[in-house]
Amino acid sequence: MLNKRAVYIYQISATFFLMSLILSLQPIMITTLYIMTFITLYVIAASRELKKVSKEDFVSILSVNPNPATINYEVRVKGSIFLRKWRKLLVKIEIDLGDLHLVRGSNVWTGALSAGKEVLVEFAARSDDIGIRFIGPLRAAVFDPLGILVREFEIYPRTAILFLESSKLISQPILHSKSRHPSPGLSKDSFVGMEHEYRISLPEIHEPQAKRIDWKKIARSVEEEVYVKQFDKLKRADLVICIGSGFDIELPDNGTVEAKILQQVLLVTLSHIMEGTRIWLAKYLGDGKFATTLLGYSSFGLKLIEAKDIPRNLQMIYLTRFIDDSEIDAIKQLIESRQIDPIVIAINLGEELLKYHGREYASKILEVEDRRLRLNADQLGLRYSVTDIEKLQETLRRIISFRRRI
Amino acid sequence: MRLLEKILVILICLPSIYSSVIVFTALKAPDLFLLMGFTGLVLMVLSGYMVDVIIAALYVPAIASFILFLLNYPQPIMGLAAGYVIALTLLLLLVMFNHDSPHTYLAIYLISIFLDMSLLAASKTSTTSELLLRNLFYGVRKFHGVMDPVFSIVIVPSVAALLYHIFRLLKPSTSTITSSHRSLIILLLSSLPILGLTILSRYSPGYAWISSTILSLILTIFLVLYLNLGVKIT
Repeated sequence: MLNKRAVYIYQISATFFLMSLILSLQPIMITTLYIMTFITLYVIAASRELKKVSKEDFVSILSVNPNPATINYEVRVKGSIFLRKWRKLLVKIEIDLGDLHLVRGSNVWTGALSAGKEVLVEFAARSDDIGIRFIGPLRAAVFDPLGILVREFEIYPRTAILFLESSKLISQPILHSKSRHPSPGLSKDSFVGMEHEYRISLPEIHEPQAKRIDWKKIARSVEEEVYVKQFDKLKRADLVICIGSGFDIELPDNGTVEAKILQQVLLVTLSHIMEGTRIWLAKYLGDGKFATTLLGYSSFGLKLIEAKDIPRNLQMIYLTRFIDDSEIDAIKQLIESRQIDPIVIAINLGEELLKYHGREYASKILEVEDRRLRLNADQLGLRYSVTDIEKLQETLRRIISFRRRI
Repeated sequence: MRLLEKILVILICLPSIYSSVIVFTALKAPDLFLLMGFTGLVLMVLSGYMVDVIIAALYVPAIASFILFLLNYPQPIMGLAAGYVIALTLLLLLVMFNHDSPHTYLAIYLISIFLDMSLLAASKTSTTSELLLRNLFYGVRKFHGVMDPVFSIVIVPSVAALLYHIFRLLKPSTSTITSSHRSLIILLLSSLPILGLTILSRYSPGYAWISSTILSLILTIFLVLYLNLGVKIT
């Protein structure tokens, strides 16, 4: 491919050639025609060598630290590139900043790359917004010695960075089990959670076991119902949680809807990840495209693992507001192509309005929004739940623990 | 500026230097203001825009000629304007030499060559600064290039230097158009069709015109097809 510089030179030569042809300006005609001839012949000669260069000739690593990160704090990005063969190549390496702002360093490197020589592209970036942001891809543009021809390669894909509001989840300590429970789960308990904490107390229909009775809740309760402690049963499974459209809304208290939802998702899923459940986090980007990352856990806390695609045959929880027109088709296509077992959670933000507007006005909106969400969800023909931000955590918890609709 | 760059600038400016010399020799009588206008602008650029030089070589003659113009003596200001026009062809090349975009420099170079040709056409016969300006502005409609053999000869090293300059800019690479055998061979090969066209134009300008049009079309179509079909990025 012609380099932009060479294209401009050729365009200017051709334009001046035409003008000189009309005005019969022989010196300009000859000069421009000579340049055009030179570029064409050079392209034929130089492209053969450039064609031999391939993506496989490069070895690259792109690391981001920390990930997940906290908003307004720096994230260090390091790209490392080797060349397997070739004596010397003129290369321009660039790491696309995506939605991030460059703070220090440079995301571009230009120079001669030779086999065995490592090139490092290091810089610091940050994001002002909460959510899944992307860095990359890492691109290499290989030039011929005169810079007339160029070949571009995407040698490392986009990498997801999760930006959170606070560092709580990032530094949350891991609870090491003393048992010999097989990896990847950490405890031998049949219940999910740390320190055997239970999630909810429910009214017991049958005769309760004394050790499961929640005496404190009964004492506080005015009703005569007996409450028993209900534990989340451990169910290791592969799961994908998709963040759909319509959450990029700023709330009056400086937060965003997406941030709140992500926080809820992470709070619920963290213990499941620790217990061995593999959870992919996907984000709908519009036009039927999804970006994916795998949530992991290490001794430093929550971490993101690179995942290029959503695997097949797993369960999916799809959170959405059905704002994007093409989203329904995208969901259908995703389910069909990967044989996914889906549950859709439609988030009604009308409840949020109650905090800021009159009840009558908010109730009307709530109803209209509820109808719209159900109408869209019906089009999908899938199991779905409609909930609000406040109840999302509980809805998610029940779905993940019991795989049932709330 | 390094020695190599100085040599490059001089070579690139050769056509402009030649046209300026021809204009000066074509003057019926020496014109002080024309000379001051020319040297004032050139000195301003060569001195690196030194304030003292700008005031002495640019402002003083400009103010003096303007006062004389108000006193009903228009010749000095005409001479100064003619000097500026002559210097313009050189200035464009000097000022833009270190510009980042090579295509801009190429466009500037071609414009400068066009101005040189206009100057040469305007100074075919002995002239004065007023006549030179009149010929320049009124002669554009009738202007159909100029056939000056010396001018054609000085263009050759100038174009070579220009190509060297515009095709060496991938920093920190030190590669130039002359550093590989391949580009040198292609430079020579490229000159063959041009040489053929030049010889053809001697015998039949019409055929040369048509041939150059066909050649340019073939080159462009071939380049587009080759890049889209031949070396498609995978």
